[in-house]
Amino acid sequence: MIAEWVATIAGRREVALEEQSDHELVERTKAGDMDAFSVLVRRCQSVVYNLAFRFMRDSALAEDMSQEAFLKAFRLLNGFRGDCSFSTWMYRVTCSVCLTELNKRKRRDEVELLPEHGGGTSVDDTTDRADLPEIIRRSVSKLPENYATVITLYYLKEVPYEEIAATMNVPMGTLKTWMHRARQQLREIVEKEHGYVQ
Amino acid sequence: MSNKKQFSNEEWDALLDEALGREPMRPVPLGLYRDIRVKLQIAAMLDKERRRFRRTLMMGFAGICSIAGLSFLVAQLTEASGIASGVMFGGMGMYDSMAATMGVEWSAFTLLLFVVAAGLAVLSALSMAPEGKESVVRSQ
Repeated sequence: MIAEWVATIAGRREVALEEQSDHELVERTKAGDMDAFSVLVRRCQSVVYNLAFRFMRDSALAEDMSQEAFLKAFRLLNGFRGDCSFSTWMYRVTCSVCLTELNKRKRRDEVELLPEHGGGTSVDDTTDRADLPEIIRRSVSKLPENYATVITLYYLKEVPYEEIAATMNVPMGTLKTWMHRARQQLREIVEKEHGYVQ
Repeated sequence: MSNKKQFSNEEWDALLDEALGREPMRPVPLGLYRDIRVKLQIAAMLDKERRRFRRTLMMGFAGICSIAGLSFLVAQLTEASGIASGVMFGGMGMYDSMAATMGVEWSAFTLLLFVVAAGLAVLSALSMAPEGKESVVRSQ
């Protein structure tokens, strides 16, 4: 009887939290309400996980990075002033966590160099057109950090330029230049490293 | 002989769109939300403990400072040395010995400075705890 009553109260509270805006939930979390942050996690987890996956290209690593991103967001939430949306801020935290991990791995020479093509750096190596999308996806992590972030965010659910600019804290002009250069560099990487033949 | 091909602009745009734009959204692993909740609860508990420890330390420091200050004031106002010599037989000798030692090695002012500096050092060390290093992501 009491258990049912408690469950009903908890259920009602959960529904009430679900109806609140991200901003209200952030304020509640800052006041110490863990359940409010759980609702934010539920709302963002899909995009955060997919964003992490696009950087790491590995589901287990993406899961780890998603957890790390939410933990970091929770710790830094008091510094979040709410000038941008919570999701935008969360994108930035996720990108930062993933790029830090990628850099650590690069320093330890742990970055995977397309094993299915044996490194693919030989001039005579040719690649089937069917493999190209995967090669392009994996080559994104070889771009400089800001270019990798721009291109990943842009193609993930096609986040608008304005939101990417807010996420990266750069003016629109700079962002468009970065986007153009990111595409060019990615193209050069794919052409140079994978000896593509049509 | 190299048989590489360079992509045309249109071809490259189409390839990018195919590779990155049409990559399907992956389903979120079933245990992700549960794992995040567990880790968040641990993080919240750690945070709470850290704050409690800091508060306890600050209160202890404030307590010691106020006791030292009050003792000094009381000693000055009531001429503690005279009372000690009158009330406690042999107490004056002990007081004189301590006062002489302090006078030679540390003046009262130096001692106070030392206590304050030690307290500040502990507090600043605490404020540079792990979360301080994580401010890489600036909030907007």
